Amino acid sequence: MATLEMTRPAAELSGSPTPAGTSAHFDLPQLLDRCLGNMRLVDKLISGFRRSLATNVPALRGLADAGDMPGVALLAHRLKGEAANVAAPDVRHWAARIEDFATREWSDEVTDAIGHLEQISCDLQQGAAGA
Amino acid sequence: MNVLIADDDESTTLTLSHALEAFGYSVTVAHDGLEAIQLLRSGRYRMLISDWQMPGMSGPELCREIRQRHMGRYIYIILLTSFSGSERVIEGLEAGADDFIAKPFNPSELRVRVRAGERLLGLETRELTIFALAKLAESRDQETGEHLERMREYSRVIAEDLSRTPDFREEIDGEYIRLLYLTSPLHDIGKVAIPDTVLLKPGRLTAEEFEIMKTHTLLGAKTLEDVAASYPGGGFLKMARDIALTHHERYDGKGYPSGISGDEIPLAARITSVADVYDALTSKRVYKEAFTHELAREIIEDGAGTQFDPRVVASFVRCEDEILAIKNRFHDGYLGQEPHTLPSRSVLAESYA
Repeated sequence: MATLEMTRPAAELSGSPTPAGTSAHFDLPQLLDRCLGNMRLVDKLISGFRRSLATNVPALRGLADAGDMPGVALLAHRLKGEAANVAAPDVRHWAARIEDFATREWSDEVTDAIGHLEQISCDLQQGAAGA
Repeated sequence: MNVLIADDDESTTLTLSHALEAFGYSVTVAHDGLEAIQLLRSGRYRMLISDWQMPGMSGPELCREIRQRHMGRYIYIILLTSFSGSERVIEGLEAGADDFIAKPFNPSELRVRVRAGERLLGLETRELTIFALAKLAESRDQETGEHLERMREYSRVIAEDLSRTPDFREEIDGEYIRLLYLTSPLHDIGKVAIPDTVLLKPGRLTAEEFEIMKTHTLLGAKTLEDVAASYPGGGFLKMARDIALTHHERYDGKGYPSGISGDEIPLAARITSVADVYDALTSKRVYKEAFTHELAREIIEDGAGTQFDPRVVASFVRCEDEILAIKNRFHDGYLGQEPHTLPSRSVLAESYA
């Protein structure tokens, strides 16, 4: 019978989502495991994720500014899934919050959470530029 | 095994494809549900791993679409989901999913769930065995070629069309069509008990020989009944038994073995009858050339209400293009010709019933 492991550790949704001993925004051991040890694939995924953030975070801001909470929730959900796949726990954390806040139509909280995501995205783009 | 992934997120498709290929599977990616449906119609894919949320058509919607259509063979569906709660599980299972994988996926879990799906698909070998038995029964008749392949496809097409009509939409669903596809090739399995002198006689049968030939309906039905009774889970053979017993009954009650009429004849047999006669008419035999599609259609249309259920004949006519495509796909290398002499059409239809 199919089962779903749906419970995520509470620490993952705390103020410090990034596990100790990993790069700033990626859980590299987890990502490497998902990629079966293929570092080229890891690099490709991280590069792609940076590009996705560069597009989707401004899009989230635009939707929030327009008051489109369903649109924010949908995009945040997609971003949450993508972040989970590439083992970016803090992006996943804030995307999950944005999705939750948007579903409840808490626009102020959405705006605040997007700010955190913008900071992370900025970090990642700068990290790529400096590489 | 060929696996189809349906997901609009590139990072997920990359990691999934990479993992599945590492496990030895051949992978194709569809970026949305519609693309997935088009690819699945090719018949190349036995397994689908689909995201839950996609633009246009969601994963559950894709599941329902697949289960409502008949894609040839069973497609094992795994839904990828990050949603929580048993409600989602229920929704997915009701939509027709076979299993779930939580996102982000764990490669080891992916591997074992896909293998579990492979084991289930392996059970389909029973279906292949059934078809092999039907082919064996047919093999004594040297001129049937791909008769069984064509007539089950004809039956499927007609049943799919009828499922969209008010009279039959309750009775015919995806499972019905699948069973019909599986069991219609067994319609003449009783012929294994008919002596060669009768079965392989090139000319017209005498009255006594015809009486012997008619017994193939009863013999086939008895065999299938006995197998169904002794095999756990053999309930699907009930349709096979109905078809074997009644596919020579006539809508007007003048058929055999029992002379039942109208809706007393199981629908599956009414459908198979049209498919079987059409294929016999358009196939070469030792005693005749293959008739053209146009002539065969006219003969069948003439039989509406007498030999055949008129609604099934109407469906056959609506599906003409698709039936012709099947005929061409599974041709035995003969082109249809008009016979030099033409008995009456009712005699022709009865001759090939």
